[in-house]
Amino acid sequence: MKFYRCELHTHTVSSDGKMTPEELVDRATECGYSAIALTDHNTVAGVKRAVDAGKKRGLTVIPGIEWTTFYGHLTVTGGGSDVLWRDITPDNIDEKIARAQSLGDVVTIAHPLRMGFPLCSGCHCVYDRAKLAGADCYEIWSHYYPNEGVVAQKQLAEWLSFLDKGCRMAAVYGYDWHNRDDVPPSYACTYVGAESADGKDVLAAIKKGATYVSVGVEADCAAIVNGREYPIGSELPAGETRIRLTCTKSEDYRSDKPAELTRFAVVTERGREEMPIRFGKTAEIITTFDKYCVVEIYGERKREEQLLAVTSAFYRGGAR
Amino acid sequence: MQTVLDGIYVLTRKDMSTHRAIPFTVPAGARRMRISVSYDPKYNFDEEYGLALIEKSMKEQIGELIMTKGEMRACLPIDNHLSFSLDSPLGAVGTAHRGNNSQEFEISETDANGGFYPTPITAGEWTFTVSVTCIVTDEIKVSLRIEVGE
Ligand SMILES: [Zn+2]
Ligand SMILES: [Zn+2]
Repeated sequence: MKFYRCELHTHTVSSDGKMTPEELVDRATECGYSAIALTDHNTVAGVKRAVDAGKKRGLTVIPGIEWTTFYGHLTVTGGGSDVLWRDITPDNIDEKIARAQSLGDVVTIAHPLRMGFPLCSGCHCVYDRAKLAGADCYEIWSHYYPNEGVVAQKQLAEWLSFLDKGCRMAAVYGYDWHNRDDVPPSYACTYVGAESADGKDVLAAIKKGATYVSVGVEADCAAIVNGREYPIGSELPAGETRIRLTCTKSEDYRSDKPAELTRFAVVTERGREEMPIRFGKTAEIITTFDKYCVVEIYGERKREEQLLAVTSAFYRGGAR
Repeated sequence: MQTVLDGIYVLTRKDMSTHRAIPFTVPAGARRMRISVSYDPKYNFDEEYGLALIEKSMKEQIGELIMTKGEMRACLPIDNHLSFSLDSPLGAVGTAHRGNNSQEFEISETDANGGFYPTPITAGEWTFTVSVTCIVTDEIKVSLRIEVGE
């Protein structure tokens, strides 16, 4: 298994993006992604062209759509879903999520706490959270300056509250890529730990929860229980758990590279434990938990300490 | 080209977050469809109203102000947003979701633009749907013309 840089939330001229499908694929290739998902608003009109362009450039393009409803946005990736966005209501959103999943797709709650009306109507998610509990992923970070500010903090807290309720939801980032961005703004990416960068493998890995989001940090993170090593997203057996972490700087990251790491935290339903860490050094935290265990990595970036990466969870207690 | 629909539709604030379905009939023998849709106004230029609405909405949604007054001002003028869908007798033909308040679409069995899918221009009952994503003016006037031809 290897972690691939992926961007799972993109738009083209088929909706309100500025790039054609071919331009998006060219740009994503230049930017060094292994896989992208095309998630235009309420249409898959650009998918075939993007997939074809991806085949020519050696870039995986996962077919998808962004359900752009009045009550919130969800990206649906895999290309299997037959759900029509106008049929989705606050009463049936849970059934629509389950329907898309039954057809093999991955459903992600997109930028749930972003400001909506009147700036970006529908962008702020007002769906009953209990009806979103079955989603596969939660965009804890989104768009430009993703790890900074109040919305990112609140989304991280909300995602943890889903995990606390027993949900198995992977943490992902959504660039929500609309423009070419020749001068790249601060952005993040989703790393997916997959067998290959092939679309099926990437989606299967996301479903397993083998992801982390990051601004310029590549993380090698595993849980060790009874001498056996488990990747992010794993259900762990009972026993003392060592969370082992080694980080390097991402070569591909285009802007606002982190200067140095400062510490990492293991966050569980019981609380948090912290330990100093530096680039290139391995550190461990021994922890106990019954539900979930998430790793947060902090470091110096833009001359201040920031949260630079968040892993999806290691789990205990069986699937929801 | 033969005009099969030419109408003006008025939306008000009550129509926020609703779909307005506009049925029309396509005669036999058509091979392509042209849809011209525009709406007016796009913007609400009342700065005081815009700022107050942004501030109030931000407090409700985020729980606190996450923008300075200057940043809010940079978001002005606030605007209306409509999105358009098409259904043929064979099923959904896609959605056009973008900010432009004047758009033109051409659809045939082999080509389509703007978020729509290539589809045969089958004779029968079609539906054009206006989805009201955002309305920040008392009224929006939508002009819609649909033509078909060989
Ligand atoms: Zn969105
Ligand atoms: Zn989007």
